[in-house]
Amino acid sequence: MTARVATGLDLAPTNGERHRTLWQDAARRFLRNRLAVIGLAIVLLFLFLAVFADLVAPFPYDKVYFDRVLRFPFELPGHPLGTDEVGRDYLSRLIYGARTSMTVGVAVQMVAFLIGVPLGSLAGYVGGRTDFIISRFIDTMTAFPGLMFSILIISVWGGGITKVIFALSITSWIGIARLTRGQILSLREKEYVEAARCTGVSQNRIILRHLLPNALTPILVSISFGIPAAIFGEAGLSFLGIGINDPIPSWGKMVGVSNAYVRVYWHLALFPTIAVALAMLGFSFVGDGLRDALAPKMIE
Amino acid sequence: MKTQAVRRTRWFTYGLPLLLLLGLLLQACVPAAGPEAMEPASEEAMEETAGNVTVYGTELPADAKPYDEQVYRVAADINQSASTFDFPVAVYNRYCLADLFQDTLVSLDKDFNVIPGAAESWDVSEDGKVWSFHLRPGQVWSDGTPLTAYDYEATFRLTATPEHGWDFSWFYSFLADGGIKNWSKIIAGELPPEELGVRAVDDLTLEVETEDVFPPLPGVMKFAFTLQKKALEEHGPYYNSSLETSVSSGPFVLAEFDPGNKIVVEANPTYKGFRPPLIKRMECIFMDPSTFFAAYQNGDIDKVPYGALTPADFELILRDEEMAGNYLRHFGDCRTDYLRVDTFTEPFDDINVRKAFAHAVDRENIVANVYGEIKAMPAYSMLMPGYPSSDTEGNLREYQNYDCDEANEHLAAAGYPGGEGFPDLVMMLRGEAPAMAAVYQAVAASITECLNINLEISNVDRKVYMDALNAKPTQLTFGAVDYGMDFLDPANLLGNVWKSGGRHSWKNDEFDALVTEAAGMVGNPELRDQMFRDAERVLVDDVGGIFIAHRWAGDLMQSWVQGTIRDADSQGITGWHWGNDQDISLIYITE
Amino acid sequence: MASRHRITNSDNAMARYILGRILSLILVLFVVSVVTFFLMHQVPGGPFDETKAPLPPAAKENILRKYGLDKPIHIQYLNYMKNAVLHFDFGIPYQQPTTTVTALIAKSWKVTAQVGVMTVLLAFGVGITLGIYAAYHQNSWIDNITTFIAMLGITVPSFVVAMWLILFFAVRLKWLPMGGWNASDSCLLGSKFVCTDWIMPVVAYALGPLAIIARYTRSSMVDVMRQDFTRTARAKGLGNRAIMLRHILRNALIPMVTALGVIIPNLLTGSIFIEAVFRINGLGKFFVTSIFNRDYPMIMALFLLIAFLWSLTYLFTDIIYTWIDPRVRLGAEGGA
Repeated sequence: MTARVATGLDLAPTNGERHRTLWQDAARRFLRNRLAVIGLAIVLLFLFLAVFADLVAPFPYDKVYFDRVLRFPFELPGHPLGTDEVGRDYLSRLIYGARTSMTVGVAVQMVAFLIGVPLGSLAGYVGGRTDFIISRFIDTMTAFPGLMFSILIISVWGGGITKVIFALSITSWIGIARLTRGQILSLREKEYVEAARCTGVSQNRIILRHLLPNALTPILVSISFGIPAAIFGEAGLSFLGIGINDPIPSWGKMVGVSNAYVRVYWHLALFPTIAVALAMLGFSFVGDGLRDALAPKMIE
Repeated sequence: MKTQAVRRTRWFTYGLPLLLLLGLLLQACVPAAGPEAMEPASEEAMEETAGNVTVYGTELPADAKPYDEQVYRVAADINQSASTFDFPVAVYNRYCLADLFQDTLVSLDKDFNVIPGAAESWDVSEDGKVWSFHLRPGQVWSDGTPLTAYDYEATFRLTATPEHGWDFSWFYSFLADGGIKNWSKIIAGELPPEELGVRAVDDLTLEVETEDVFPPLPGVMKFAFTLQKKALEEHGPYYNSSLETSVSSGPFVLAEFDPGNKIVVEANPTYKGFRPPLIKRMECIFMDPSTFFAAYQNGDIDKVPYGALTPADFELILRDEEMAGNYLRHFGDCRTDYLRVDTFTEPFDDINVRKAFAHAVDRENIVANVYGEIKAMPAYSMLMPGYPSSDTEGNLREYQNYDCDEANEHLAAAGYPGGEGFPDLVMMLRGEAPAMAAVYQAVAASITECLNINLEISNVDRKVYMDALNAKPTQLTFGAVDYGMDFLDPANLLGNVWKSGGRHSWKNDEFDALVTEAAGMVGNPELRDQMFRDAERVLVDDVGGIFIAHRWAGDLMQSWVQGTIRDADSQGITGWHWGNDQDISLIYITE
Repeated sequence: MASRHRITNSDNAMARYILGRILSLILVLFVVSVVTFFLMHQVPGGPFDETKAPLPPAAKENILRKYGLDKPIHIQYLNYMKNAVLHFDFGIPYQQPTTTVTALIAKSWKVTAQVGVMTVLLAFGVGITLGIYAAYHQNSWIDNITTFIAMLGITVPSFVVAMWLILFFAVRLKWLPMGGWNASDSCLLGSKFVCTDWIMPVVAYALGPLAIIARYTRSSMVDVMRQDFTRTARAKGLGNRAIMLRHILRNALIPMVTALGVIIPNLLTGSIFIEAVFRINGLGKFFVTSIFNRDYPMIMALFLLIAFLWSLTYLFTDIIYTWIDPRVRLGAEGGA
């Protein structure tokens, strides 16, 4: 919303043009949005770092130099961001930290998509008792204290990246399911769906070919907001010391550990917090931009 | 029209945020409230130091403040749960200033020799199984009731009662042959508590019978605390958690009880025991451990234990000459950090793999750079130098010293030349805080770099870790632990801890035979000592564990806290000594 | 706006709606209690310490019996629920056996509530002010700053903001204490009336909700200002102040309620991080320590408390919506 305001973008072109131009228009609108482009650049940078960390990082993330423990930025050549409490290059650990964050962010949203969309579509399209049961289920899950369940689950099964993804996925699909259900509910009354139904098109085909593609836009936007939420979730758990296993770096863990060192070694706290903030901002900008570009009239 | 709107609404749009900002700034600019407590004592008090005596009539040292100002202040962790002052009620759930309301049967001196406590002497029967402890005559409770052996008897029976569910009841079972007679059967409900091998013979004689011959038993009686039998019967075990019912036969009595805020004890005027205190009051102030150091710098508390100091705090202490001089480093409970391996399954069933790991840990560098030398010394074996029968000479170093070439030879001999084909491993940590997690990351890095293998570290919840460790067969292939002594004899840190069937998945018949025989040996201390030394050699040679470091404990004290606490033991170590109850009574406050 | 007749009608609908929602609240609490109870008993370990050595089976049984953990798990559950529902007795926390769960929560809740109330006050005070100002001065520098703060507050986790504040105000400038809450040396006049150690936790914590509020306020203000009735009112000669108070603030109520609905339940769980960073001795730490200590009664109580608060806030915000904005249709679920 803020992004829209910033660019004064309210001039939605008339809806209902052909499919191809819809996406082209969206892309044009997105690229005209300055913040969205900045966000995209940040996201692409982090994705690049995540994928090519091995090539970009000056040191492996677990390479220890016992004679270089807790050095400040630029104190030693070759360690522009200093070293950590074990004697590892902090810049390299930050770069590898992007890999952890991106993996968790994307994986959690994939799981959310794979659970939320089928469940939501089922509830929205079939309706009746199925809808009632699924809706109650969603309502119940909404009231679950998600963070505490994540803590409990990791206590049961231990930490590690897959377990963190699992723990965060437990509640991540709820929003998407709710959204999909709502979208399908409103779309299935539309004329073209009625028409398809009358001409005897099968249910699966109606859902897959007619309803879902049209419901996809808000889902896409929701996912682009879900990724930073998952990154935040991982960072939060790791911050509390129960997320990603050592020696694999995670920004949240780096922030959490730095708490014991911050009185002297400020750099341990500063850089990972900037990384987390940048990642969150980047994805949110992209999310805002996507929403404005894809559905200019959609409000919240 | 619009500009007008702006002007006329300014009070609203600016006012509120400005007010809020102003409020914040005002708060921000005011310096932390001045510490009035720091005011020096008045001069007239100085003149009156002649005749500066305690409630027991003892003359205070010349540099001491007046008796009324002899107040020693410690901090308590506000987050820690607690329910009792008394060891026999719940060991792991005690308030600060615990265990000052009674004396244990024995105490230890600075060199860890057993010395008389509430008991002035003891002797053992012909067969070596029945010990008689003779209480000092004339000791009384603060309500006037005499302290008798029946109080100790009632206390021991309480701790063995199944319904009491004592959290330390594992200990006497853990001593096995050295345990108190019938202990295990009583806690299992097979025998009544009256059958326990602890009996009052008369008012001043307490008999302790063990399952088998156990020479270190007097040292174990450091855990022989007592509750008052009368209070126990009238008010139940928690009688000390209330000002009305609290009663003490120790050097202090409860004066204020407001847990979560402040606990105060004062010198017990009726005390007749072996350690009458010089200080008049002890205050325990509840705060968060992270604020201990700031409170110390502020002069609000007199001591910060090392556990509450972050690595950054240590850095600040070491940079400051005065603070560094007032950091009293000591043995703590002779704690050793080590890696435990499951020698019954792959890959650690191969002695060469174990040796490879033992030689791959760069202890010196890890201690110097990651622990910091103020907090640890490199370990090549289980017993910290200074502990009885420990390797103070460094004879055992060669078995587990850092030697990457040798490590790789062993790894190759095990069939993994250059680390090839070695399975990926997970090193489990037991809920370690950042500073120790950093140490084990350094250990893991040292191993992976030297041996070219893959290691991941999983820092799991303590209870999850112990569950995996204690499972039979163990589910813990490779993990880091630490262990501090339960009592001061190698029969504990070698025997109870390392004998097969205990907590480690390691079995060595020679070791078992040595420690079993030595533990029960009477009359030949030299041979006993040598047998424990031989046993430890077997332990490090057969790599039952990979030893990393012995931990130095320590306390940051205020410069005005003086007393025997600052005296060194025979090895030059000052500070608190485990099991020593006298130092707390001999501290005093100077200007 | 609405005639009396319509109100009675909707009162009826409202009653039925609330009843339905209360029933579903009970269902939610039931499900949460079952899942939590059985899940937490899956975690290895128990309320005993096996750090030194495995407990002898007999000693372990004694401890389990002491805590009533020797019975089959479904019996334990039924016992727990019986005490909780009938007697409002949530048991004894294993961490502090001389008190009760209810008393412990009530005690620690005070600090968390203090943080929460101050956070809400700051977030609403500054958030609304900023939002209104930004709406009145669109594209001014204040508007841009508001937009920036909103972005930062919404996206950046509170513990990150907290670390920045610590780095700057405690480590660098040394103006404010690193942590603590109501620490005597940080309070003015030796009282617990105004303490400097409140500033950083509250600011760090308030930034998120503040951002949400500012954003909502600004956008709804902009909408309202564009609407005809405002122009009409202005044309009729009503003073600007009157316009603002009568029409605009009323319309800003909805975003406030929305924000409140998001903030209140988060005050509890969110405080985990703030209390961890600033070492505040409130309820937050129990979320972690209860699980670490296998303090079953405490875990149950906290989970139920949060689930209850969430559901209740949803219910209330829904009701308030319909009350302040009759256009919101009752029971209109789903559908965009």
